[in-house]
Amino acid sequence: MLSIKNLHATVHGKEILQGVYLEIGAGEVHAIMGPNGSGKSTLSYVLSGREGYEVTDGEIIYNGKNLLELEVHERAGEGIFLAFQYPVEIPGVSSMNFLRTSLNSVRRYRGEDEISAVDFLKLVRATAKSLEMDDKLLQRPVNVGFSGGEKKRNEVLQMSLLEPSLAVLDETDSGLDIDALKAVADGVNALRSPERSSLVITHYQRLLSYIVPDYVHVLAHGKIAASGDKSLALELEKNGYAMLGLEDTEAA
Amino acid sequence: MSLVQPLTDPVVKKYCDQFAAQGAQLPGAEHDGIKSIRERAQSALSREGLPTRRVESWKYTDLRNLHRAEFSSAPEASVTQADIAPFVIDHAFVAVFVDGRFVPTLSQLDELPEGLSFSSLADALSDKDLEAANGVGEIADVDQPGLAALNTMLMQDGGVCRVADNVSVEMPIQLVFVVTDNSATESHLRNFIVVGANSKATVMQSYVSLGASSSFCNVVTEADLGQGANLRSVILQDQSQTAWHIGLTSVRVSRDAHFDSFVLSAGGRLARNEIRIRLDGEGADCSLNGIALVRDRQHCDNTTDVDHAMSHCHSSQIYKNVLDDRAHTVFQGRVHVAPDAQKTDAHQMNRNLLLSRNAQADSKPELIIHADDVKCSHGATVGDLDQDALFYLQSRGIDAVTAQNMMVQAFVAELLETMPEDSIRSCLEARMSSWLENLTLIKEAA
Ligand SMILES: Nc1ncnc2c1ncn2[C@@H]1O[C@H](COP(=O)(O)OP(=O)(O)OP(=O)(O)O)[C@@H](O)[C@H]1O
Ligand SMILES: [Mg+2]
Repeated sequence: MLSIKNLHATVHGKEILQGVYLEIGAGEVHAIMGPNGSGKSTLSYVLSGREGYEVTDGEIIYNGKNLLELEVHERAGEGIFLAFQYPVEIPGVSSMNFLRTSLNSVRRYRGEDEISAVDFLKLVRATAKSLEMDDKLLQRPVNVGFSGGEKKRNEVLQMSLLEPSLAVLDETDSGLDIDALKAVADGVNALRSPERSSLVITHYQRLLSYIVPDYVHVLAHGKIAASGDKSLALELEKNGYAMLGLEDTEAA
Repeated sequence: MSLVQPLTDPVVKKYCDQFAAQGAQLPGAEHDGIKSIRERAQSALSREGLPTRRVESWKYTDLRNLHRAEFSSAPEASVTQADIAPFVIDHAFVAVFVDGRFVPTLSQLDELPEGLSFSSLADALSDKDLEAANGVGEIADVDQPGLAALNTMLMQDGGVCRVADNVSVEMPIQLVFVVTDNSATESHLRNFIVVGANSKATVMQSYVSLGASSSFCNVVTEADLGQGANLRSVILQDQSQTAWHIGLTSVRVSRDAHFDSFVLSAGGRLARNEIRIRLDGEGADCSLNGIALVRDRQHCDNTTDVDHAMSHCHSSQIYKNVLDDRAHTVFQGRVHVAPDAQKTDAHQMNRNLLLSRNAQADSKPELIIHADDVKCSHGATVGDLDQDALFYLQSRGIDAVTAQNMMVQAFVAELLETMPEDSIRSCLEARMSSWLENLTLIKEAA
């Protein structure tokens, strides 16, 4: 479903991704680990089409489409969802208006009818409840004044509403307490199906014991330095990146 | 000190000649009191001239093109109820003025409640309703120079609203000033609003155009709030993009009275919305808010001057501007705290959102504080749209234009949300939305 070949990308003229190859099949869960600054978030931004992240070589094919030719919102319509490492606060934009505009935009893109106000409200309430998220939070502007953990839950809420075919979770586990971690993992697992795939970026084995990956990759120096199954994550947890001959942090 | 040489200023001379020629036809010509007000204004104008950019409070707003333009007073235009309908708000008393003249047949002023009276300024100044004109010129000091003097010298019509003591007028009063497509017209409008002690009223002024012809609208609104009175003033300045609009609102706020002002300025090639407040009794309070939405080469100037003359008064100001293309906004906020005005609370904020790198926002706060036990603050920001937030919205499937509109709306939303009158709020929101609909995607990051 997702095929990344020889992907090179620069940010502000600096080459961050230096030839990434990654194949994700339908229904698979892939984890990406790697030292700070190795380019994990950069990869997630390139996938979602963020401005300023310039692809200088290589290709990304998603469900047969050249992803790099699509606008940011079109990629979301195609089913790509990025749970941000640092979700953005948007003062003045009400959460409910945002969620509804988002859901209806994606539905329109997919040729589906818009959701009615009543059904939308029911859907949001039910989804928030399943994530053990206080729906009072949604009376505030998007992410404004949310705690770190609440922001992450809000990402998962959006993911659950939009039902993406590829969910990219960028350190969604960081800053979460145990209960929140479980709730978030349950949210991700609830979406698992033979058609849906996930790319889980994380530093910790902990999350991967809840969301069990089919494959684990290590991104270092802008390339996939190692790949394996879930046992690779366990080994890295024990031995650190030194076992791959890598520093724990990338020199800039 | 005179900054121009008015006697040789051809523009001043033109207006004085106009007064000499038409003075006899202006309303109130037969009354010595009115005549003397006009003559005093004429001498202020002759003495001081019209403001140039050398005058401090006009530093950012240049009237030279206005002075070069030729205007005439308009011939009677035929305007129908259907022409006016789009500008009229629901559930309101409505007074319609066409090219600066009150048109009773287009107005809806039946069944005014007990304690509320309305008359046109022309009627009030002439014999018909002279009582109502009592006090005109007292609040916007007639000896004050410049465009206000020009207005006093030539004032032709406007709305005179009086609310007796202890009356709460629930329905808004809307004054609709329509400029037709007739010809380049000039109008000098004077509104006069008196709200008696412990009374309450809402007055909206809508300045709109039918068509695109250029016009010059010079308005002075005087408002007098009695003790404990409450007046909400809303101004929608939405004339065509060829229009000049110069407005001055002068307000006296008595003890424990509250003046609330909101100005949405979206029209005009050049617009100035000036507000002067005198907090004239302990516990007086004013809240001045405004939004300017400008594009192309529009120029919009919001200038405020709040005089904390007494202690325990409160003033707050929030002005937000959204600028596209080569538009220019000016915010000048002056707060003066008199030596005895202890426990003054005065806050001011001006925020500017630039959608184009060619737009320009000038902001000049000026706090003059002579008392020591006061809380005063001011602030100004200039910025473009938060790119991270735009990306966040787009990554959720929202297209770039919609995302941008949501962000612009968010920028100004807080100011509209607090408007209690539904009919006014929805009118302003509709104007806001139509402005956003015409917004193209930002081509380059500002
Ligand atoms: N806007 C930017 N300008 C300059 N450098 C950038 C920018 N964005 C990212 N980089 C650089 O690109 C490199 C990769 O950053 P990225 O955020 O992708 O790392 P990461 O693997 O997600 O790290 P972490 O584990 O800390 O989240 C870093 O060296 C970072 O400083
Ligand atoms: Mg990262």
